[in-house]
Amino acid sequence: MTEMIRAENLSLAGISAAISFAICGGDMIILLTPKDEVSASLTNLLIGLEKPSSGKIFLFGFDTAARSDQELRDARRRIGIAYGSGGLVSNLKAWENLTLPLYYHQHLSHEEIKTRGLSLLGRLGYTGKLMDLPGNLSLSQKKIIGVARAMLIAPDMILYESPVSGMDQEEKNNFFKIAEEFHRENPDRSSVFITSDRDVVRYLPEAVVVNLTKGRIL
Amino acid sequence: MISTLGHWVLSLVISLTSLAKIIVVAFKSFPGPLNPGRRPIAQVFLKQVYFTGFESLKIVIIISLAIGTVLITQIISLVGAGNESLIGKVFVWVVIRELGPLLTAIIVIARSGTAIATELGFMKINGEIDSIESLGIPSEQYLILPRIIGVTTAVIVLTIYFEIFSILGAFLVASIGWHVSLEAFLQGIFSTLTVMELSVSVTKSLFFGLFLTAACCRHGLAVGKSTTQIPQAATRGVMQSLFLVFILDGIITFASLAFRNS
Repeated sequence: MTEMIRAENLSLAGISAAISFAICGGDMIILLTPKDEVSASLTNLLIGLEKPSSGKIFLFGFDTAARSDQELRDARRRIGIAYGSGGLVSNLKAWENLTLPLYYHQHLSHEEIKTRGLSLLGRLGYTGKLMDLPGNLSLSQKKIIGVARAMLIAPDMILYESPVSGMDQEEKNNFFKIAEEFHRENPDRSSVFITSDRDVVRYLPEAVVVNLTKGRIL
Repeated sequence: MISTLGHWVLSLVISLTSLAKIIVVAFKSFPGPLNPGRRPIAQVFLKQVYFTGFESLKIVIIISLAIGTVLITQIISLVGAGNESLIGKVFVWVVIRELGPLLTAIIVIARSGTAIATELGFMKINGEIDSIESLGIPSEQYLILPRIIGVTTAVIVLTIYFEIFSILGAFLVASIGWHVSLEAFLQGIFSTLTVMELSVSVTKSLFFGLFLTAACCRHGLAVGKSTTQIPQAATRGVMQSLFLVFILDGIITFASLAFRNS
């Protein structure tokens, strides 16, 4: 399987030992962190938004520290990122947030984007308003829009940062069901859950768990 | 004294250069004709033109009418009511060359400059800039470029409105107070209003728009992790924009004078 991400001797605030792990196409992995701040920081490191203070991260085979901004952006277009806070742009409405990457990167008609977006939101069970700004949405609604935005681009790899914090039981069940279905849609797709919530392990029995709190090496 | 002056000039040059760099980087990221990213960028541009241009129009019209009436009163008091040619000349020199671009830029700085710096600062603290970058979207292309073009377009168009309405305000007062006819008034204005005068006005508006937006974007994006930095960024953006607008006004006026004399 193609290697998607490899971390070598990575130092992270909040983790005493250096960490190393590899994620290949088709993998479903849970990266367990000591707290949500570490999850957010690790997510940014993995996609090259932050440079590691020590150690290396290879994204699709290239060292993130050695790549240009444009190369990193091109690599990120293959990754769907669902942030813990939703990661929505505050001055764009929920629908505009959802469809932004499709409008930005793909030559699709309004109709096609509308069909794809609405069908995915229906699948995720989104019942909130689409023409409201993120400030008027609940945390779980923001998260669903964020997850839908990550899935809408049909990425090679999807990163879920603190995926279920702020969700109720029913929303959690639905989220993991959809995440597993989405993972299975493409055998080469890797799904990475970066979280400090140990409960996630129970919902994803097939996933490989990497406990980063101990600096374990795979 | 000389070293202080040298330090001041040097810091001004550095400041102008760094802002020029932001403008160049933004324009270099201009999407090609086949780039689908043009659609969302055009949306940001149109929103910016609406907020800066359309929503400022009312205040620009009111201020320009007031300026026109005040100026014409002073000019007629100075040169007398029968000298339309001189009245027109002084009016064009003051309004078209100087006050139109300058006051419009000040209104835009007060209204939109603060909004841009605050909005970008808030987005930075909220991690929205990272979120945009994580989608593979260059922040300079999606956030800075449409704001620079949008504000600059709005400043140029608002300046034209300012100049038209100040002429209108001036005529109303001249007509009611001193019985100046429309024909005589317009003849006085248009005998002085050359392409050169209009070019200077547009050039000033263009540079004011480019640099005031770049300054506000830079200070907004320089916000760190504390919300208390947002109002500080807005204040710094506004102060630097105001400072630059006056400096650029002086430079362009001097350059146009040198061009006329050459």
